[in-house]
Amino acid sequence: MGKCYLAWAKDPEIRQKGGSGGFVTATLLAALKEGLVERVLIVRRIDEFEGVPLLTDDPEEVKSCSSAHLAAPLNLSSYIPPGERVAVTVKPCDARAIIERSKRRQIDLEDIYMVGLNCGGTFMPVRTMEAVSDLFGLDPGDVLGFEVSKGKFLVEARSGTYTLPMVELERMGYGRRDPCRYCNINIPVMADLACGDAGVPPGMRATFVEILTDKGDELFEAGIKTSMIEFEEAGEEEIETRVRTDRRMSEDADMWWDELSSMIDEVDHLSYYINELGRCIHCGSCKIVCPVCACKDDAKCLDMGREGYRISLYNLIRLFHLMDSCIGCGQCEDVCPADIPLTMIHQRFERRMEKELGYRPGFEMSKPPLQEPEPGGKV
Amino acid sequence: MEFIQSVCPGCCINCGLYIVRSGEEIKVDYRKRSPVNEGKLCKFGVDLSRYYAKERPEPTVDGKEVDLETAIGEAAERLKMASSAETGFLCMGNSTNEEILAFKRLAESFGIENIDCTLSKHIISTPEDLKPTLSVGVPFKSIEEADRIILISINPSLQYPLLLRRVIRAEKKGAEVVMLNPAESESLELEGAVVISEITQKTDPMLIKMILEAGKDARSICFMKPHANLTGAMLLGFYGVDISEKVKLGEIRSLFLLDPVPGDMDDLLSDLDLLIVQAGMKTRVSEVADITIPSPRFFEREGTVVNIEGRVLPVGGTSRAGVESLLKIMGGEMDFEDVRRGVWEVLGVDGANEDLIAITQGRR
Amino acid sequence: MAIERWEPKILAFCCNWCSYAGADVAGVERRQMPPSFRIIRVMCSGSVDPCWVLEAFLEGADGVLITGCHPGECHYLNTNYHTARRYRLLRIFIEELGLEPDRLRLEWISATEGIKFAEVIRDMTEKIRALGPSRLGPER
Ligand code: SF4
Ligand code: SF4
Ligand code: SF4
Repeated sequence: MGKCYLAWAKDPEIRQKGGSGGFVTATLLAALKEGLVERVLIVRRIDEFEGVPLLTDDPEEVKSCSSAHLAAPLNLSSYIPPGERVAVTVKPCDARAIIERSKRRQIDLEDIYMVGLNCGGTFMPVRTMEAVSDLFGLDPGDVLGFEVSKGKFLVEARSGTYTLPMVELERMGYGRRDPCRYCNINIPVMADLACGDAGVPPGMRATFVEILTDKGDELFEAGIKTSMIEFEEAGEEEIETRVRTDRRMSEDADMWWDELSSMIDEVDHLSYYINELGRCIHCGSCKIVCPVCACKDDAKCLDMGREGYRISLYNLIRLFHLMDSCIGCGQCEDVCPADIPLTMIHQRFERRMEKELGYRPGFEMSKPPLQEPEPGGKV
Repeated sequence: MEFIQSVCPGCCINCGLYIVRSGEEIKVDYRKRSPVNEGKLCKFGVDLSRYYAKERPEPTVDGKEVDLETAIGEAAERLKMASSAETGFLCMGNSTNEEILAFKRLAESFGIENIDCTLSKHIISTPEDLKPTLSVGVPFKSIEEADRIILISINPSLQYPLLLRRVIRAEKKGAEVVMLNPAESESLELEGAVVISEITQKTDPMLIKMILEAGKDARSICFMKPHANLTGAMLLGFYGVDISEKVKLGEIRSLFLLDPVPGDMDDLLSDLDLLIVQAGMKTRVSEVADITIPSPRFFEREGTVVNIEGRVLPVGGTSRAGVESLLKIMGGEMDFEDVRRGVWEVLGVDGANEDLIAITQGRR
Repeated sequence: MAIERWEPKILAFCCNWCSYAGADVAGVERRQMPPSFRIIRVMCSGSVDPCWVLEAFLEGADGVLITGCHPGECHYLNTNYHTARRYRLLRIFIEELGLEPDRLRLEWISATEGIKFAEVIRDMTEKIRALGPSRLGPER
């Protein structure tokens, strides 16, 4: 484990406004000021339910995004301008995508500072709006914000605060999107910094920060040098709490995986895949949004093959090609107009590969297994 | 990287999306916040940037490039000279509500009664109380909750994938889904069902009549439409005569086309005495026009559309040029705000709100 | 009337430098081989794109065989080691997909191993005959 701190923005306004004491905002501002990066890539809030990427070097814009919720199901890795030094706020799946993209020379990891944010999952905007109106009778327009805290779904509205245990919510089909439920990585250990709430003593406006790399050190140092941040070392107990929270969350995720993926094991696999993928209308969206796919217009999968295949060549090739690189980010499933559970399907294959080879995409820079030889040519 | 919240001009569903602009470059991004489509798009929406990259028309008069004011002035002059009985205004439903209403007011100012949104003959033959059913469809959420869905002469997997997914969701919840070809079935049993069909210029009006009659006890009826804002055009009353018929009969000698798409009467257009086209995109039709008035690309327009569910959706742009050209031809007494207020009034709403189903068929 | 026995369709991708020659030897020596397989000559087993294997199944192959040079004998350094890796993942892939993994086979067969080639084909044919037709092929 890297060095761990409890840290916050020195500027009282940023500390008050930003989530968890404004550390991330302050660090981004410091990175700009110190010239570590040319611009930062963050999430700009559109409303309570939706955010879009924002690439900026304007400190005021950075400040205005300080309380931007994490809940938007975006993958920022696709918006990184190549050849520019940027700091990016990353969930685990953004960070993993960045690493896979740099393996494929889409971006240069050297240029990128990954400010990792612990992630408990993201929410599809429309489903969440339905949740607040179906469950609490609220007009989505009256919602001031929502968050998940200590296993509870909390909605802040003009008329008061509303809450429901997440388990209940998700049993009813609301809550986080499926891929996030079974994503078992909550702390972005592959980023430069990992920032989150877990381990912060109750009532304290601060972020638990783990420094994971030299670049993480640089970022933290920039905060100190510019007097943007204040910090204290994290104690044993706080570190322990964070480890426990993390463990609990990934166990929870694995439980969801077992539950959701067992549905496939209960039926005939081939019929299941033929059936689900049979609805594909070949809009191409799943490829476009996939952050780890680096193929352009000459991609193999775009040669669809003949009509009348049980599964289109497009789908089959994508499934195979992503077997060693799908990071389970959920982007494909989000945009599929045929509602095919694409991430689940890709993950079924990817997780088999993981089990076979002990390799997980998006953690470090080693080559994807499909590009590597089999040692000794063993069959 | 500027994210412009917009809607797809591809069909009557009007899927929400982002147009992402970086300098001259335009990309489409998925807008998961849209209650219409939750970010999902069909192939047309996915390829929209290519559609928007098509060449834009220049202002022309008699094939010569002129400045916009000249084209507008010339249009006003020639419309004045044309006989109003032999002049037609055709809007194909690819324009905003504001443009359509301005277009209608323009027709009125010249005393022109030949107006059409390509579906006049279907609308005229429908009794007044059923006209709302013809124009506005149903909330997609209600399709998901249906027990019985009847698809008549429509194959949503080809034409409307974003509708199809709602039908499939209903089916997964246990709904019965039936595909009917009325040519093969004796009578239509539509009681309690959500009925989905399609209406295009080529649809046999008898079929529409049959569905509307048999569908009196249906839960709801939804006629999908191939163009972006045919719903708005119908609600704004942009219908009267079947213009393509009249052109074919030679009864119309002067024609004003708003945002045309290539169609079956294209070959006849060059024989007209006067052809005026206002469009955001160069087409074969704009090429043969006597007067061409360019308007902004769809996503650049300020204004609204009504989608098939009855939502009044902002198109997302800031340019009023399309509406303003029409108002200038009219003589400049109205401005954009007047038209906007007019649209709210006719539609009976107090503004655009994507989260609200503002217009319904008025059925159960 | 004799009941016709179902013959599995097997597609073999054979490396030019070894097993294609091996297949030739098998043919010249007139060893007994089932008629059910087709050979595609490739310049190296490593040039067999996994997509071709998938396409073969989609086109109706009941089994796919890839043959290459023994480890250490590849004409192009170690490209057959890449074949081995892809094969390893392809097998898991088709298994997850719901096909029997034994429908795919990789064998190292040198130019002189005509006997082995014939045996592999025979053995594979029998195994796939036992499995029955592939369910990924076009509807019959
Ligand atoms: S996939 Fe994992 S890391 Fe990505 S948003 Fe969902 S929970 Fe977070
Ligand atoms: S296949 Fe889907 S889930 Fe996997 S990385 Fe690509 S977009 Fe993400
Ligand atoms: S997004 Fe869905 S429908 Fe579109 S190509 Fe991918 S699998 Fe097919």
